[in-house]
Amino acid sequence: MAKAWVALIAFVFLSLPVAGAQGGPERSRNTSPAWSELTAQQREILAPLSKEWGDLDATRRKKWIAIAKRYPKMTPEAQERLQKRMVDWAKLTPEQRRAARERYQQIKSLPPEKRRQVNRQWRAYQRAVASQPDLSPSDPPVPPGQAATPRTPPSKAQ
Amino acid sequence: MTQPEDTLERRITGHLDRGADQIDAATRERLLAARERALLTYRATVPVPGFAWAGHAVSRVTGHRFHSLRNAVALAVVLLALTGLAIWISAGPANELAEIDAGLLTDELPINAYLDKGFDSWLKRGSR
Repeated sequence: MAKAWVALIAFVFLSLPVAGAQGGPERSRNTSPAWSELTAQQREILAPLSKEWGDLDATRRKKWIAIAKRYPKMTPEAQERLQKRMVDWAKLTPEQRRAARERYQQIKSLPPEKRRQVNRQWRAYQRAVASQPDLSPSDPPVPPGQAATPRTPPSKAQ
Repeated sequence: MTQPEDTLERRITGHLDRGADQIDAATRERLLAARERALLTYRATVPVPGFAWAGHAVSRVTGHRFHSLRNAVALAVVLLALTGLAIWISAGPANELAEIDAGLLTDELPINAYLDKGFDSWLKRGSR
């Protein structure tokens, strides 16, 4: 009897990495659930993705379903931002999404005052870009009082 | 069996038979009741037909038989728990991505702020 239990538990644990391996981020080939299998509420929340849904792999579909589950608890402002950004986000390359996540997590880890400063800096940067329309992505504006320094690589996915 | 052993066996069984004939009625009743109780307990441990196929299926794989309902129930509980664990592990990457992406897509900063290398340079220069 003991051997039977050991064999059974060993079998189940050996099969666990297979289940986990499906989920290397954005690499799963299984493509369920289909759009038609979503609930009415999920379809309503994820409506901006209806055309792209067929191209998403299983991990990304599960991810969007998990986001849809959080959606009702979001503020109206956050809900609006999410709806507007969904399609742009889905169209980015995996490398761009990975880079954006890394940068987001770096900024998120800053103290609240530093984060507010980054938000202010973004608005200042936007104004600087708008006031210098002849600048190319490889020649970004510089903060007031700063001398131009060697060029940075071109921006992606503007 | 050898001759002396055969003789000894006959003598023992004869002695037991004679002893059994001499048991008083009260003792006989108690023995009978005890036997019936033992038979009832034995019947209760016979596997329920609904679980029999599962026991046979596992015994084919493991070479062991599951003689009691308790083992079958314990096995079912372990299987359910491990299946739940496997599902939880497989959903891990999606939930992890959902946590990050939900924060990123609802953040005050737009997506471009995290991708714009010009803004990255702007921040680095501004912090000098």
